[in-house]
Amino acid sequence: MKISILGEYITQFGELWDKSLRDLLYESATQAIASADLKPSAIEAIFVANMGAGILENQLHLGALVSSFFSHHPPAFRIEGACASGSLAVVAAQQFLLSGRYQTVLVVGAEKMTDVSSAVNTKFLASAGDFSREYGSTFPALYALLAQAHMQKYATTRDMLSAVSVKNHRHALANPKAQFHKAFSLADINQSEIIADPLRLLDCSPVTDGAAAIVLTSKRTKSPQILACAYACDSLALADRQSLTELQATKSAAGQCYHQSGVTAGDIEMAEVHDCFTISEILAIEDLGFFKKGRGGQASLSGQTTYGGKIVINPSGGLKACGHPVGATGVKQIAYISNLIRHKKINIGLTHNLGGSGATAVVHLLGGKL
Amino acid sequence: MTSIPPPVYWRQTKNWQNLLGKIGTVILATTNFVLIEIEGQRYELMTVTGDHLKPKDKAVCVFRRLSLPTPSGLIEYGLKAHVLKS
Repeated sequence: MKISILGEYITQFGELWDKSLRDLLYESATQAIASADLKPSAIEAIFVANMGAGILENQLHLGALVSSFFSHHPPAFRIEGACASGSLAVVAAQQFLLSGRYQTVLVVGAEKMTDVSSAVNTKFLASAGDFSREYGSTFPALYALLAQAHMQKYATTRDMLSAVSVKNHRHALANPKAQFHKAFSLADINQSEIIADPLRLLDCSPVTDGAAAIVLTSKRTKSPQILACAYACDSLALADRQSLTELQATKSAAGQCYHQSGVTAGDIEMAEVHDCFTISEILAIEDLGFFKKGRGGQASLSGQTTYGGKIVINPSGGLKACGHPVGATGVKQIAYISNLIRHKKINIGLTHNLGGSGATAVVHLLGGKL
Repeated sequence: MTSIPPPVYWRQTKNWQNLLGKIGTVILATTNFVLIEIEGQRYELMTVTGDHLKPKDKAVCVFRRLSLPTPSGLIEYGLKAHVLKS
């Protein structure tokens, strides 16, 4: 049985002063159902992805909140897996569909981050790490250590990191929903403020408000399908990792996906990968098998990850330029690739969503009806 | 967001004295934060203000204030890596 994506919707991403978390959830849920050409009563269950509403807004119980948008109050679940919450909610929804319990469900991911200070957001995001083992760390610091390790072992350069950011900002220019519509040069990135050496301000994804939703069904349709999905975990603390130049959870999840589907990394035309920092995109394109280990930086610098290259990475602009409302990101990635397949712009796409500094990885392979 | 509750702080820090004064080798370093190996175990630690540690530097675990004091709650102290001057 294959799961199809009947409809999808992504809200504007950015600093949305006029929209609450509830507004974002309502807009994405109702518009995704409209996009699927369904009546709301067709939704049998809801899966809500969110990380921070309990900390940032004192609002938990989001499943019931979204269910209350519907007159028939479908059963609803909230899924949290740090920045991988969105794709984990899709995984949970798939399991219910594959079990036969439901036939048509809604997955919605949302995050409202810009109502609080940077300090509060930094502390909230750090809760995705191992607080007792990484005391005093921030996510830029953890990814900076991964960048240092990659630079030492593979001679990855400052320009290679910057090339990821330049490319993703360029891609976002064509995405009206993206948070940023501004082109940057290598020099702009190289000269931006140091956050955690070697990572600079323009290596980092932003704080974002936004939501995305998809409608999944186990019924036979002509809509884009989920060809395979897999997820894996690794230690929360970097100190416990076997390697600091690869994310084992990503490699494991990708390997499972390719094995399930028979699709190879070379078959994939576009991928939305988790570029919370520029180094994380370089790690992802290596660990997903698009480029050999240690060659991701050079591939980025030489234009192999954009239109006209080997594979288009982050056509939406990625987390870096489209934005990163953490609970929404995994759903947005799938919605974006699904929409490209629906409009026959690509045949096969991949999404890759991370939680923490790679402690959770979720990979989805999407394709047109075979 | 409130300050860390005292029992939580105590549980997190009760074993830190085992590392005090221990000397390790820096594996990776970024701004104010290092991955350091001490007696075969790896730890992630903040660095002492003003230190600029590099990979292969020797550093010693010291007790320092971790954050600026606030009008209420605990003043958080903990382990930091401090460059070992030869």
